[in-house]
Amino acid sequence: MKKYLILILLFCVSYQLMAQIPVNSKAVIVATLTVTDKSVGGVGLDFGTLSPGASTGWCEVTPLNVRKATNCTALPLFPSSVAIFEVTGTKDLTYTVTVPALGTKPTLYLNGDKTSTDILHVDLFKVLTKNKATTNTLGNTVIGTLDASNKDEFYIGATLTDILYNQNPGTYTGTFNITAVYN
Amino acid sequence: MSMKKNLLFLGAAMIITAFSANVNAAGNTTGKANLVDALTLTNKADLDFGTMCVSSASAICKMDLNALRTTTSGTISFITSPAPTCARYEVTGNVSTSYNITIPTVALSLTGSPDLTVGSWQVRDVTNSTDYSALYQGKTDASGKGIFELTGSLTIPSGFKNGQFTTTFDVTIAYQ
Repeated sequence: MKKYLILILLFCVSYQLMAQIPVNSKAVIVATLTVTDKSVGGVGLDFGTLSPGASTGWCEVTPLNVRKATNCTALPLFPSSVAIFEVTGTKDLTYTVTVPALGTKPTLYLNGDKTSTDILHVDLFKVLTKNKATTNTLGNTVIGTLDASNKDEFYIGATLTDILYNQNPGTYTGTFNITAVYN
Repeated sequence: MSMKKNLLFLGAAMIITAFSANVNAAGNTTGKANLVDALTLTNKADLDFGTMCVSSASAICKMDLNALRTTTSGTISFITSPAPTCARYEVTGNVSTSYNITIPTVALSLTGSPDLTVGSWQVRDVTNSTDYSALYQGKTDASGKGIFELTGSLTIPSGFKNGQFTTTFDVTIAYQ
């Protein structure tokens, strides 16, 4: 009987059949953005008291509260004031303020009576932010930045239009919407 | 006695079903070894859900494989900068070979806050342009390389605090 010797050599080879790696994961949750009206007396944008001129006039109030009347007279004893808003959120983040677009012209009604035909309009809204002094030109959005104390302010001015020579006297009021959102 | 034959079988994955030192006839048995290239995994991008403002008591943020975030529960405002990113990995290994991806339970933590959890994972095999969200797998190409991305849904529980939540977790791949 022949014998055969079978040699079996079994290699044990170790291969990397799997691989693993650590991965970083992150999510940041920030404070809700809040906007608080800080206007003088809470009246928002106030054009003060005006006297109509001989033709249709208008009155601009800048975000720094410089009032300029055209074809009408601004009475110094009854000055203007701008809308001031304080923004609170998370520091260093930016946000966008949106005011009514050019030509939107929110309406002011005599004594706030929305059925009244005695009206004025507001247009050419201007915004100035405190921390970065950003402002809009013809657009209706401005980007602001929250400071280390998580705050910023912005100021809104605009132009009161369509002040007729025979405009009925009285107090004209209305509302317009502004929004502030994180970018 | 001299050996007439020495049979040498080499094998790394050999199954031997019978062996006898005394046989009447010479026999051949087969040996087979499949050698595969080692798998390596390299992280190219972290899983970053970015920055968000949650104004509801709790919320769920779903981030898709294009890093587009949407709210599936609650109220969330997304802040665009810095941009969120899906996790991205490069794989090297055997050519045209499928591999499985294992993702552990992931919780992002911040001191003083309940954890945020990540689930409903989505996986995309970038190399083969295939969504493997249901299978958690990928496949290397003809050069033995592969890329996959993953993302998921972030659950923000009630009682959460504002701040940066972080964690590190291990992703594992293995040949099928």
